[in-house]
Amino acid sequence: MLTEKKILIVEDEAMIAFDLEDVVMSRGATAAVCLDVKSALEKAEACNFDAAILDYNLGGHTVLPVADALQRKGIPFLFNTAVADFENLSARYNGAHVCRKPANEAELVRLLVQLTNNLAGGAFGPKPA
Amino acid sequence: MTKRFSVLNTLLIVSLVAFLTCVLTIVLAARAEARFRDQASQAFDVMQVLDGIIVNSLNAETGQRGYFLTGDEDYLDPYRVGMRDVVGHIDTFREMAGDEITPAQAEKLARLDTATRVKVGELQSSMQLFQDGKISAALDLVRTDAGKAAMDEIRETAGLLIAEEQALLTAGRNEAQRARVLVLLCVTLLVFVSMFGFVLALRNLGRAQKLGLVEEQARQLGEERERTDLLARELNHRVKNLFAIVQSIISSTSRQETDARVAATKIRERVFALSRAHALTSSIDMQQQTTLSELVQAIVASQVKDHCDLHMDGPPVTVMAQHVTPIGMILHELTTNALKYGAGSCDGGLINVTWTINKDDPGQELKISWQEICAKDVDLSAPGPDGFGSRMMAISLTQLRGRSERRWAEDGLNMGILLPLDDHGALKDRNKAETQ
Repeated sequence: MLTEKKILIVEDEAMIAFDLEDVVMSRGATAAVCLDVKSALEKAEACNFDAAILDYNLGGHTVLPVADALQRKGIPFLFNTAVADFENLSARYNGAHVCRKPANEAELVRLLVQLTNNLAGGAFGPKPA
Repeated sequence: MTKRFSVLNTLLIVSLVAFLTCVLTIVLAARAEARFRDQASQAFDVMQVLDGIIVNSLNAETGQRGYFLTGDEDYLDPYRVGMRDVVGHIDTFREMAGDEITPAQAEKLARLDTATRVKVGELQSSMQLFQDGKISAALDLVRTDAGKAAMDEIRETAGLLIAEEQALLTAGRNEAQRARVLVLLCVTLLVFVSMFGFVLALRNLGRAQKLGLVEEQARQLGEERERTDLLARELNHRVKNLFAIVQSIISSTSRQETDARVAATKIRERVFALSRAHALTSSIDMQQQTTLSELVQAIVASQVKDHCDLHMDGPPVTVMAQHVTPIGMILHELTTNALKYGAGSCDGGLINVTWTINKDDPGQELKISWQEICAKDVDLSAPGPDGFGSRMMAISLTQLRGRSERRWAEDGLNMGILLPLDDHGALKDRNKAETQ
C-alpha cells in the first residue's frame, strides 16, 4: 500500500512517534522521525518525502514552519493533533486533512495512501466534507 | 457616587466659606483692637488735659488765696503756673478735639472756655487790686462769688467732657471685648473645621485602603482563576496525550506480537509502567515534576523485587512531566529485558543503577549507568532488547536529546545512558533548548 514511499513523521512524544513509524513501516514505507521543529525543517529541506504526518504542538512550538516548507516543496501532508483550531488549520493549507489524536490507524493509512498516490484531488489532501 | 461627590463638594465649600469668614473676622477684630488702643490712648490724653484745666484753675485760685491771706510770695508760684497752664490746656484740648468735635462737645468747650476766661479774669483783677494795695477791693471781688461760680462751671463742664470720654472708652472697650469673643469663637470654629477635615481625610484614607484591599483580593482571585484555567488546560492536554500514548503502546505492541496473550501481557506491563511513572507527577496539586530516583523506584524496584537485588544511588535529578514517559519507557524496557534474560533471570542477580552528573563544558550531563551482575555463568549470546525495544528506546532517547552505550561484560549487561541537563540540573527541554 505504501511500499517504498518515504514518510516524514513530526511528533514530539517519542512513544507516539514510534507507533507512527511502526504503522508506516509495517505498510512497507520508510520513515524519518523528527521530534522537534528544527530537525524536522532540516529533514524537510534535505529529503524528498512522499507525504508527512505533522503533530501541531511540538513542546510549545507550532509545526507551522515545517508545514510551510513542505507546502513550498509541494509535499502533501496531514495533521495529527489533539489541540488545534482544526478548521482554520485545514483552510490555511488548502484543505489539508486534520486527524484528531489519537488517530485511527486504518484511517491514517488510508489518508496516507491517498496523499502519496495523489488521489486526493488536490496537492494537500481531500477537501473537508 | 455622584451624590457622594456633591455632598463632599458642599462640605468643601461650606468649610471654605467658614474659613474665609473666620479670617475676615479675626482681621476686623485685630483692627478694632488697634482702634480701641488708639482711642483709649487719645481719651486718656484728653482726660489728662481736662483734668489739667481743673487742677490748674484750682492751683491758681489756691495760690492766690494763700498769698492774700499770708502775703507770702511763695504762694505766687502755683498761682503763676496755674494761670499760664490753664489757658494752654484749653488750647491743647481744642487742638486735640480738632474737626472731630461733636456739637455737644463744642458747646461744652465754649462753656469751659468762657468759664476759664471768667475765672482767669477774676483772678487777674483781684490780684491786680491786691498788688495795688487795694486789699479790701480785692477781697470784695473775691467775695462776689463770680470766681466760685466760674470754678463750679469749669468743674462741671470739664467733668462732663471727662465723663463723655470715659463713656466712649467704655464703649470701645466693650466693642474690643466683643471682638475678642468673636475671635475666640472663630478660632474654635476653625479648630472644629480642621478636626472635621482631618477625620474626613482619615476616613477617606481608610476607605481607599479598604478599596485597595478589595482590588487586591479581586486580582488574587483573577490570578487564581487563571491558574486554575491553565491547570485545566494542562490537564486536558495531558489526558489527551496519555490516551494517545496508551493507544500507541497498544497498537505498536499488538503489531509486534503475533500471540495475542503475549501482546496483552506486554501491553499491560507497559501501560502499568506508564501509569506508575505518571502517578508521580499527577498528584492533586498538579505537581509538574518528579525525580529520577522516584522513577527508578516506581518502575524498576517494583518489578524486580522478587527476582533480584537492586542497588541505586545518585544525586537528586529533577524530571519534568514531559520527560516522564520516555525515561519511564526506557527504564521499563531495560527492566523487562533484565527479568527475561539478565540479572533478573539468574540466581543472586543484582541490578546496579547509579547516576552521576558530569559538569563538563558547555553544559551538565547526566550519566545513568545500568549494570547487571549475575553471580553465575552468563549466556553471552543472550539477546538484548529485541528490535522493537531497541527502536523504542532509541526514539525515546532522541526525545531526551540523549545517547547510549551498550556492552556485554563477563557478568552481564553494562548500559550507559547520557542525557544533557539544563542549568538547574533538570533534564533539558528539547524544544526550549532549540529557541535559545
